[in-house]
Amino acid sequence: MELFISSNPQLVMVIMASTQMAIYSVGWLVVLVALRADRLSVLCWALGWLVLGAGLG
Amino acid sequence: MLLAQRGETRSWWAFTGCNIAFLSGYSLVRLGLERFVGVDCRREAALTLTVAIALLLWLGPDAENAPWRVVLIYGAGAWLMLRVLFALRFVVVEFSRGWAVLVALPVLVLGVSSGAMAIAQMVDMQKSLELHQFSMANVRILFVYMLVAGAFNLSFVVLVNLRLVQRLRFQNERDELTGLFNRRALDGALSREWDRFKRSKQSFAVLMIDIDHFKQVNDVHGHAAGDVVLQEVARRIRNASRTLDMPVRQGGEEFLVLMPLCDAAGAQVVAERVRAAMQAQPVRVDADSESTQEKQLTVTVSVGVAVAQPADSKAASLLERADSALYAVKRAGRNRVQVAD
Repeated sequence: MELFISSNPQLVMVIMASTQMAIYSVGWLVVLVALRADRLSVLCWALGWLVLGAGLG
Repeated sequence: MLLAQRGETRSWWAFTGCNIAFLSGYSLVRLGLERFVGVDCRREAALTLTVAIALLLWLGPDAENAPWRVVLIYGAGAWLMLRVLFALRFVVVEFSRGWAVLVALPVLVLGVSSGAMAIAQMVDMQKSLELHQFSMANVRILFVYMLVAGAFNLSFVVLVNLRLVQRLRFQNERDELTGLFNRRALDGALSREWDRFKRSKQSFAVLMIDIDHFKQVNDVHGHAAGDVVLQEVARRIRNASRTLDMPVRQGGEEFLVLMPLCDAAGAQVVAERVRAAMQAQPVRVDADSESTQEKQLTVTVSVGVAVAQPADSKAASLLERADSALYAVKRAGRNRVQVAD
């Protein structure tokens, strides 16, 4: 693991950034279920981070 | 990036599909934020995305076009983000300048960083800055992505929560039918005004307003017509009041206006304005199922006025005097203004 991180830190950063964005996305989808208003904007926001993370990864 | 790192031949998915997804993500995030603040940017965002995707498809996944692809991706990303800054003026209007700055910072950092990457690539078109190739510029932009993603989401959490709090506060303090303040809001404001009066001796007044013969409106024309009358009376009270006055629906057909920094003469002027506004024009209510014609109801109000005096022991005694003045008006024939002694 250490060898992998030290040999390719850029790849590790990409994986971390993509995972982070996916987690945000899931979090917002959970918020979306509870939220009564502004659903469409939150849906766009959540999907945006999901697609952004997927594109980055 | 993960596909590209495998070192296989340049596949469409790794070098074009991912870039399209990346820009689509940017556009969706922007769309979400701008919809939230009430800006319709769909046409412009769709146009930017369409042009960028068309160019990406035209450039294809080939290595020789890599620098142009990098310029396109970062340039479009910077444009999409920096355009969001224009929508933030609505955050200033709805929330405050401070909260707008909180959102603007990650947007600005992301936009400027993306723009800097596009410029860096344009300066040296020999060496591609594609994300899968190791370079300090790529490490820096990835670091920015991680930081900005956190800050951007945090600021959106703040905005969503602020709006929820504002809605709760509004519902807590407003009458649902008329949009005026409710009794709960009045209690707090009256207490504050009373404290200010005791401290500074600057007088304030209350108008107690009652719709004349309102029960008949409900009984004869129905409760829907009664609701329309209440809404119209509330609208006219709001229009007749000063900017700093606080119009309140106390309940039923009783309204109240709390008037800070106001003496008896000033309060009487506003009270007369409210009374005249009601008498001047009948209230139009929708036709019911039996009649096809729109009804016009002449609605009048009685107003009792009381001004805070040093002899008053508590704020409630001011309301009692306004109430007594109102009942004096009722006894005297309604549709008048009476100032309490």
